[in-house]
Amino acid sequence: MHTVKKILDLFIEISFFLILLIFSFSYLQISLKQHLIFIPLLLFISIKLFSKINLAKIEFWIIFLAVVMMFVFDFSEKVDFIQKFNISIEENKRVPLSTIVLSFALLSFLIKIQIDGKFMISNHPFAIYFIMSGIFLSLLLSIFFPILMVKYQLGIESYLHLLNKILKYSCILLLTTNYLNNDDKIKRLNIGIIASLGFIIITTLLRII
Amino acid sequence: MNISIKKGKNQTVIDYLLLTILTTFPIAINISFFSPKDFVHPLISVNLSISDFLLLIALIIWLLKILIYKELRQIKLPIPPILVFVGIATLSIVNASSISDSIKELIKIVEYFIVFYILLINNLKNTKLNSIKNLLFITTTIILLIAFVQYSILKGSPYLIRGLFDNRNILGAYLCMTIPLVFAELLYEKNLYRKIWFLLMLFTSATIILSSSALLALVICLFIVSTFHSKSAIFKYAIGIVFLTLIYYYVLPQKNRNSLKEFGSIYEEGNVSENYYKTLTVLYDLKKTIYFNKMIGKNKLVVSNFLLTSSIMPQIRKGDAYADMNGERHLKNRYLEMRAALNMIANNGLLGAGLGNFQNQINVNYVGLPKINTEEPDQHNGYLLIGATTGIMGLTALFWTFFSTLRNIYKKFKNLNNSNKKLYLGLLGAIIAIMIENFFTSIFISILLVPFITLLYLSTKNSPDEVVF
Repeated sequence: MHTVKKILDLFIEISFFLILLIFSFSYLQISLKQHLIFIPLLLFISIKLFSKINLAKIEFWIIFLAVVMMFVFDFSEKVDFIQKFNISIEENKRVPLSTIVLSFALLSFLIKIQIDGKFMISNHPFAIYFIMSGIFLSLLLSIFFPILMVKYQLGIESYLHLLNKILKYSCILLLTTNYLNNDDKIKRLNIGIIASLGFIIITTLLRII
Repeated sequence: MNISIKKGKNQTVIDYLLLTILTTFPIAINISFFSPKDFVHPLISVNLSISDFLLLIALIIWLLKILIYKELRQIKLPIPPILVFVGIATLSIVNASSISDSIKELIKIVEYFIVFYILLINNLKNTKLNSIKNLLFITTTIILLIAFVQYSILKGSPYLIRGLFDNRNILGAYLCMTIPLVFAELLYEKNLYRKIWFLLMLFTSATIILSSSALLALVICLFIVSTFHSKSAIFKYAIGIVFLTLIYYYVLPQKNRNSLKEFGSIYEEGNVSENYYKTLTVLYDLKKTIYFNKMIGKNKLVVSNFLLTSSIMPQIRKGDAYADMNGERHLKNRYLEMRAALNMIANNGLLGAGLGNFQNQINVNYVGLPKINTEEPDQHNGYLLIGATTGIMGLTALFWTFFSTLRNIYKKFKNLNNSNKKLYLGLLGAIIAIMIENFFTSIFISILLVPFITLLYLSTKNSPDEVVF
């Protein structure tokens, strides 16, 4: 059982790195203004990587990385491999690659919960209120949904899009806080983020030059 | 010895300036520049509050005091959720299409959430909490008196019954912040004269309040305050509600009842006015977006609606062409703005469309007829406004601020003895009322941020949440 858990953990870790890899291809979608966030972020994570503090004991750092992963996921969803590699898939059947990777990670996580019989929910205020704001928006959507559909026959695509995003963010928060339970894993993820951010910044610099 | 006297004098000046801000914050000067061709829509319109000037003076004196007496290490910082909120608001600027609008909004947020809050928590050490509270009561009394005069004399639009504020909704939001404090004080008060004063304040506010959402927020929060106090308080509250219902239906004029009926307006359908089509035709025929942009002012016209108009209704040329749409029923703007805000959150996710960029971005997210009536105020729902402009992250920080404040107040209310409980009971009610009112009127406007930050300060004074570096 221990080996199965290790394999599942490995699956989740590979998923994270695959999302980071896809994120690296999003350099064309990132504006120069957004680099203003990426450069300090890269420096900040690099400083933390070389510090001797046990990062697993700092709950804030785990939440921070979860938020960074949400950003990474957001950008990775915009990468259009279909156009890039000229693959012929109907438009309404297209699913972002990072979403497929996330669903595999989530499946591994669910199996792990079945084996362990438990999972952790962070009690950091930011994590709690993040979930709360997601629930708040979902409630608002559910209030407007029937009015829009039944009374005004307006489209609901953007509502479903928002609901989809809230669900994905919540899944990433849950996955990251459960996965990052020791210092080595945090350091490995830090290296992954630094590598993909560094790649994007260097590519942008080369494009400018 | 001399130095300590000067330091004390500096401190007194700062304290008095801060207390003056608490009394003068509703007084604002409007500076507008109009084009000679259009005297209705200003090119530039800036609202300068007296409290802005006083805040600047207090900040300069305080900074000098800090530097001269080397007190840098003793500075207290705002509670973590406020710092996170301001941080996320700053980060959201990367998504902004109009940087100037974002910076204008950021200055406002930093001015109140950081500067005013830091000044409050680092000064007013010798001022009793009761004095600040009484000052708020006196200011509220003056505002209520002015509103009562407006209520008695003015027969026109209910928007004119507004005290010293811009409209009835802002007055209602302000009353949501202070009336729970008055009610809690009344429940514990033993002095007859003060009891009469508080009762008169409650009665006047129930009469002049023509913002039904604020009335609803107050009815709910006062019930919660009574529940936390005692059974007899619930009984008194019930009598008060019955009395209020009777005078609403048999004594007070029609405008009070009308305001209650208007409450459902966010879901209401309405006829599209003829002016709407006329304006649309003029805009469509001119096709000079830049000309209009300069003449009417950027904030008063959403330019890209042209594109929307031309793509949706390419055949329409003259006003008569809209005849078949006259009398057609459409959703009202407020509802469509809420929907546009949800679309904006869906499109921009974590960091939103950029602080202060709600009206700039609304046109691409607006569903229904093209939005040209930008006289319609910003998004009424404060949560959606923050969600749309600063994203889910900003909304998270806002919830964190509200709920951590509520938790702090509740802890203090539970642990304190009877004589000090009334302040925290009132604050508990005020924060709940603001949280409800924020669904209908955004509290993130300069004039309301002074009392709001004062409430946050009162609730966190001597709190362990304050960070000292």
